[in-house]
Amino acid sequence: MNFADLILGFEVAFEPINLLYAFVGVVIGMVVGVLPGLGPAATIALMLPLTYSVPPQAAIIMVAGIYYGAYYGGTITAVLLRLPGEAASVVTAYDGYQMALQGRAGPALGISAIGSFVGGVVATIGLLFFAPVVAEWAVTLGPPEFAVLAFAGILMIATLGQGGALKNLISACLGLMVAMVGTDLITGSSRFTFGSVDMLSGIDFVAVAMGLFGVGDILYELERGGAGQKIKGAIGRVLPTRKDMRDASGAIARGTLAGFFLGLLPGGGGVVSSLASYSMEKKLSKHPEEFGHGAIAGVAGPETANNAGSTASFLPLLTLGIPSNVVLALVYGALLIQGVTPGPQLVSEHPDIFWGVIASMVVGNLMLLLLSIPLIKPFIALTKVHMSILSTVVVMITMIGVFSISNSTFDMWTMIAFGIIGYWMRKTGYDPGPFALAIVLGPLLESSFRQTMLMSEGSFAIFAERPVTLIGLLAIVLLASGRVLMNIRRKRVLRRGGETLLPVETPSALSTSTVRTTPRLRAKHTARTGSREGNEEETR
Amino acid sequence: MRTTTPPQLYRLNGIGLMLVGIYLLVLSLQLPVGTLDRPGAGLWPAVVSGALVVMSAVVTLTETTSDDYEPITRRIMHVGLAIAMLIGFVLLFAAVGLTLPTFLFTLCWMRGLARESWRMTLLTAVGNALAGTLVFVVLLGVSAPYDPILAVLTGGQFS
Repeated sequence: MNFADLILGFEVAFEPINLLYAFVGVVIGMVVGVLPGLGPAATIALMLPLTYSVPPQAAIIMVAGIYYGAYYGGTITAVLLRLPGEAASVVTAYDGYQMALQGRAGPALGISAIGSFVGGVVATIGLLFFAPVVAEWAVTLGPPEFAVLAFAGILMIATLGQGGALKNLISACLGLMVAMVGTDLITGSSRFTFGSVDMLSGIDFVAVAMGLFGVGDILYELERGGAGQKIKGAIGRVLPTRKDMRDASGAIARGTLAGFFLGLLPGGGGVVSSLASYSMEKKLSKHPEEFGHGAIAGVAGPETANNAGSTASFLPLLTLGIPSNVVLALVYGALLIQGVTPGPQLVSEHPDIFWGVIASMVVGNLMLLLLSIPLIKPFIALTKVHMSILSTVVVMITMIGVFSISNSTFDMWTMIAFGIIGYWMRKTGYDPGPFALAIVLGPLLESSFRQTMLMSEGSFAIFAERPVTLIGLLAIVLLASGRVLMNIRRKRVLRRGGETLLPVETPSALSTSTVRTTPRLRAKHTARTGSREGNEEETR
Repeated sequence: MRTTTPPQLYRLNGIGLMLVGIYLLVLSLQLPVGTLDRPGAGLWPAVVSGALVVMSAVVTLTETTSDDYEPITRRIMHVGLAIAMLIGFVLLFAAVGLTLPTFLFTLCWMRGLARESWRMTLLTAVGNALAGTLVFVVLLGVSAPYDPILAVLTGGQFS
């Protein structure tokens, strides 16, 4: 790392306009993240239009602020209402909600904010050291390497995401097909345009994302008719006690490390990191029986890992141009709107953006910590917003926002169509995440694959001859076999009705959540724990 | 209120996806496919749509329960109505700009779908229409189609 670059980054981050946009991003992210039914993906999709008229550095800094702000917003609802705003907060709901029932929601949220800050800052420091190295290495990569990396990215999100791997792969294939609509950049022929001039330039990713995650969510929630929930238990003091800090410090340290390294992997990010951290804390704890019943380490570890992982996952995005998860795919979209293509050249072509974004994460995480503790109580009021009011506001923002992409009603029609697709996917157990990610990675995968075939004169042996591709392919094979083995093991455990690392309260958290779990998951868990839930109600 | 999905009906979803895959495969093969050493525009779509067909067939054949599929409830009619409202919004927006469609959309959604009180409905509808127009058209300068209501309200300064 060159210290001049770091200084440049902090100069950019401390420019008043960028500080303002970081602040605005964090607040918007937290506010929208707290609102019922909207996770980070929907939040960023909705806010993309706001970035159009903003300078590139400020826009990306704001989007990064929305990103971690929305994750923390999801934590607030996970703890208070057992409504995790997104998948990474599901494990927080296990112990966080139990703490809330015991009148300790304040310390649960406080420790989450502190853990998130530590995880975010340490991961950012890690990025400062790793990012230039990876970017330098990435310049040496050719089409075969990028083909394997893009393929691995899609495969990882499909196999590690929610729902069944096969269904996720179908979802990814549909996304890849959508990515092909328009003019073929190599031969110039039009594909799947059905004679429409509007489709010649392809289908706009922002319109697709706003449809899948904005309109799709609204339609899905409308059918579920989700009624507002009341917060149970007192909030209590927000700042954790010394004992809380002692109990949580190990979890925060381990969560930071696990989150950072898992976040670097394609398909990584907050979800895998928080799950891994929870399992690790439960295994290492002297009192594993407390997990699922309000253990503060069960909140601190996953929340720290979540933020460290989310921050670390910026590395493959900024250096390789490969978003590791759907939320980063939207950040990728935001960069494209600004005319900035993430990838190996970003650090040399736009050092101000590259270093500015990384440095702004330190500032943004500090803002998150400073804002989250005093604002927890006002945010609680937001959870009571009527879904009907929210729906109409969201629809209006998405409609006019998507229109403003190119001042054309075509994008509005596209958004409605993908809203219906998003709704259908949720109803039938297909995760829209791989679909959206495949749209982003599709052009890179296709062009790299075709260039590789040209280079090798049609021989697939090229993938085995180059070290990076070979390692990548071996990793893909290992991952696929690991997934199969895990499935077999999980089926055996479920058949035996045995204990898993996750607490029994899992189902209730999932069944009432807005997280896109599959009906199968919910059904399985409800079947296993119906009686337990009944007992829980009685105890309350 | 709640009706379960009839047995085996969930398989229609996999069959539908398979048909979509076959249709896309046919379209792909109509494009110049080329060869592996000189791939044409149709090669990659053919590979992906082929994979889609195979995987959809596997899902259709191997799924033994409908656990992944949420039951169809009567509230699906709400979704149909909401989609109709969205379509109406776009058609009206193209004709008369933002203010009127936002007002009408909010009115129909809140009263018709959410069964909110008239007071809440009217307050939200007026608030949404005014705030939306103010933020997007006036402040952010989005060039929405001609809006006669905005023109009247601003004395022709904005439209």
